[in-house]
Amino acid sequence: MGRGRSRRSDLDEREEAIAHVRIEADRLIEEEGLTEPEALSRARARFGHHEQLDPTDSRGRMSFADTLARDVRLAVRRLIASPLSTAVIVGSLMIGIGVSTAIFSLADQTLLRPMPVTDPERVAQLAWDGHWVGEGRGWGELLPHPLYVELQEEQAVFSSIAARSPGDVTLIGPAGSERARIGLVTGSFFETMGLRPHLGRLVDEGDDQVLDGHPVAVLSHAYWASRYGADSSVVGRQIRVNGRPLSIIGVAPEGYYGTDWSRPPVLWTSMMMNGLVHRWGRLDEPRVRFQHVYARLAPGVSRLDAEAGIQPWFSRYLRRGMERGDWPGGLTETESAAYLASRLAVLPGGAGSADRAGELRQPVLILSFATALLLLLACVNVANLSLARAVAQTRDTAVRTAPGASRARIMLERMVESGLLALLGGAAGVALAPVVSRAILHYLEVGGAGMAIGPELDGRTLVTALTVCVLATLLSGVGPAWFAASTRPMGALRTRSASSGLRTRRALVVGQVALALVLLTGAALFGSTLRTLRGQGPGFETEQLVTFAVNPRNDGRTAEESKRILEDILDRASGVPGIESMGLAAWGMLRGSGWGNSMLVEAADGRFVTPDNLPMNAVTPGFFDVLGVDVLRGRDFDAGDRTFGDEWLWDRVIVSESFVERYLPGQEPLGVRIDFGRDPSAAARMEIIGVVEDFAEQRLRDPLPQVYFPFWQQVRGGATFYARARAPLSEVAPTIRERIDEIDPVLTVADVRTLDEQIDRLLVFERMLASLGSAFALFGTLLAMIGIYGVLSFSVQARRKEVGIRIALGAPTASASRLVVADALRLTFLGVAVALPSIWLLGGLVRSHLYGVSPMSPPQILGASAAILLLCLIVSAVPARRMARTDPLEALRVE
Amino acid sequence: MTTQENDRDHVELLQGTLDVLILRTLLHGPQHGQGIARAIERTSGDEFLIDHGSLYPALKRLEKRRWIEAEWGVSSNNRRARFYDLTPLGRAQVDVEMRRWRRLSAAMGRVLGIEGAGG
Repeated sequence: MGRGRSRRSDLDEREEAIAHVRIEADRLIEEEGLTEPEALSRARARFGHHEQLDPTDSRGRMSFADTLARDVRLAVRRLIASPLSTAVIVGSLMIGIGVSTAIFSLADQTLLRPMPVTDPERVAQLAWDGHWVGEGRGWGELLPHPLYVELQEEQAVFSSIAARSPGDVTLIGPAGSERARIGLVTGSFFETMGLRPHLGRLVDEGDDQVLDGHPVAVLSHAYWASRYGADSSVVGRQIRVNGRPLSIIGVAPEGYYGTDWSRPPVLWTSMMMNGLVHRWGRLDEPRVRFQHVYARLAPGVSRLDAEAGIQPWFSRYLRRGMERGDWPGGLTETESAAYLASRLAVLPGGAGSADRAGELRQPVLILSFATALLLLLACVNVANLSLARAVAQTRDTAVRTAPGASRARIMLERMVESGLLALLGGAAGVALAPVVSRAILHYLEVGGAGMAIGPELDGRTLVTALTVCVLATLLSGVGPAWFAASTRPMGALRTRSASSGLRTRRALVVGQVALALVLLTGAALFGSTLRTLRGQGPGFETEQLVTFAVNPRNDGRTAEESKRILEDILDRASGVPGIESMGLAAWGMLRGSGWGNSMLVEAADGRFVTPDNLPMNAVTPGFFDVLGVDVLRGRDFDAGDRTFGDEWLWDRVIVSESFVERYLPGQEPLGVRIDFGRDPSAAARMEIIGVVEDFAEQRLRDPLPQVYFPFWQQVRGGATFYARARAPLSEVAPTIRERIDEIDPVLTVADVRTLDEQIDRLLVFERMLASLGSAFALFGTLLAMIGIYGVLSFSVQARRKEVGIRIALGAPTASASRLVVADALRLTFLGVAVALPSIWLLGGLVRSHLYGVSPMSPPQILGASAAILLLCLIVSAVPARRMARTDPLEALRVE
Repeated sequence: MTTQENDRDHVELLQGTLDVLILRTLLHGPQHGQGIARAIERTSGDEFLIDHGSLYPALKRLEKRRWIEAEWGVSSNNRRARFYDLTPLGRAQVDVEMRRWRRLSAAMGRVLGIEGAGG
């Protein structure tokens, strides 16, 4: 208590002394007609060099805490004294910090955060780095099961190796029938990850022995909690997956979401149960790649050691395959050399390998970059405003410096003020971050529900937010603080600080304009990409096109039953009122993925294998009619294209217009024989019977040479139905569901939506970049305009005298306005000049996400520049008017 | 720190005289430090020059004895300042001090043979 009082009185004394000097100076000015600097300096001298006035004096009794407390109070008073500039600064920081925190949180969760496993830094993921020959059915950069098996037997650099593969299934549990993702894992998987069961046991080596012989299930903790109410008696019960009962053997540890945050499995079963999920159902095919292979590095072995150590084995593996002659076969010299030069990469695997992480990397990188720009812009804005405050308070500072406050003191005071502002902005930003995250997740979630990421901020993110806060303080506070500290009492008081700091502020504004222009151009480019893709569309009419997917195999039906069921559905659903026509395709269209292969073409001028994988699909007769795609030559498939043997093969195909243009230019396409590009020496077994108009089948950006097979010749699994409807989806969907129930009530009907919705999903990143880009550009431009406005208003104030004289001498008032507008234009043009090289440099980052527009596209850059110029003119109107209204008498009197 | 003030010939204050001058000045009403100093200087016909460095220790001393008390307020030209006022105790003390000084100055006058110095 006593200490508290004495501290307060120390502070009071210091302030009292300052007040004394001020009052005395006021008197000297008034009574003795001294100028302000003279008055202050004399008042200070009269007061004497009192220890209370110099807290840095070692004899001074003020502790650091006292000083800080005092500075905080002072800062708070100053902030309250200028509420508008405080609000703008806090608002700028809120946006800057809020957005960057949100983006960091998402980037961290999607790309950086390690999986919740033991020592994630010791987990590696293997990847094929090199040439993959011919057709390998499977997804992305995946590995074949035999590679995993052979590697496990022969290596010494890993302490354990595991493989996993995801599968989408129909699952019948306590909540009824639902579509869900499950994980297929080898017996070594949980051991490799170093996980212990929450309940029961996990899949282990004992579950990895006999193909199709281990119907076990390990539930995810989240699924167990939500569907079974965390009932611990769940072990031993059964759950049906694609019609097959699996017995629950345990529950995975809480928080474990698998290796893919974007689609956490609800349960894991043995890799031996592969046939449940995948049509091919064989694990011994070296050309079928469908597994991610993870390994735990052996003690003392680094990732690079392991990679070097594994290559001799991998070379032997590649050679063995060729020697055995099973796969790959019939390669040319060049192809086999390229194939044998492949390496097995050992990548960091601790963060898992989300199927979508790869897709997300670029958009997240672009967003991070845009965020950094926005944050920088916010900081520049804050620096600019803080500098304005520092300048406005120059006299105050001078008064404080005069009684002996040291530079360090003044600088500290300023930094305290910046810190306080950053803290306020940071707190507001952290409150804003989840809102921004949620908005972004809203886009991502369209693609797949139940991702293991959320808008909540974790400790890492909060630490990052705090770091950003400190960074923002330093970035935006040091300059103004330095300015304030270097204020010389005499100089500052005498010149009335007319143009102090203005040059720096102008430079900052140029930077702001440049940053805003970069953001605006980015937004224009992404907007144009989205518009182009949407405008171009898939090449057929998507309006009133509805779609749904059925896979009877996943509901436990045989291949034979499956085919009959699909025929029945097509037959009955076509009769639903409101449906005009209906067709089906083996793979859902416009999903961003699908079936692709290189093709062998026996052209008139020689046989060749297409260098690219062509998108392909199998469709029913009338499918093209449903889409409204014309058959240009030959004929559509018809009822004659029926069952064709057991092999995964067709005897007739339809190709797209572009296929003919690219591969059979100037030739008669009908009757040309083609085949899969696997074996260039074998005779081609399929014949082109028709040519259709081009349309995008898997992605809007796809090359258009495409191949279509007759659906009914090979029915192995499910199909996606496409119907041209006269009524809205909400009306036809229930009727379709009823008809399907009549056929087989067990069937799961998935992905019921219109094709327009499907395209929205397909364009998730484009939409995200376009709309977030626009939001960033909007904020950025707003901040830049605030900066310009501030500087212009300030220079109007500073030049009033000059303009007053001009007007007094008879210059037209319009010339005064022109001064301001010219100034605004000069700043803007400089900003544009600075921005252009930056846009050129950043072009590479965004190029792959643009479509139909180049990063340096003149219309977008010119448009953005014009927008900035126009806004600048608008913003300069107010200061320009004020300048024109300058009353010469008053302006001269001010001094 | 040479200043112009030192060039003028001022009368040095005797040790212990500042307290009574402050108390006497405050009889007119509350005043801040600079105001007190200025009032003393003015009423002394600018003979006295109050050393501001000793003014505040004196104010502090008086405050400690509870003869005066202080409060933050706003000065006539709108500056925040600390205003001092006499406590009842201080008011009584003014009489005591004044009487003491009259006696002292009368005695001084008699010793130095200055007419009318007493009272």
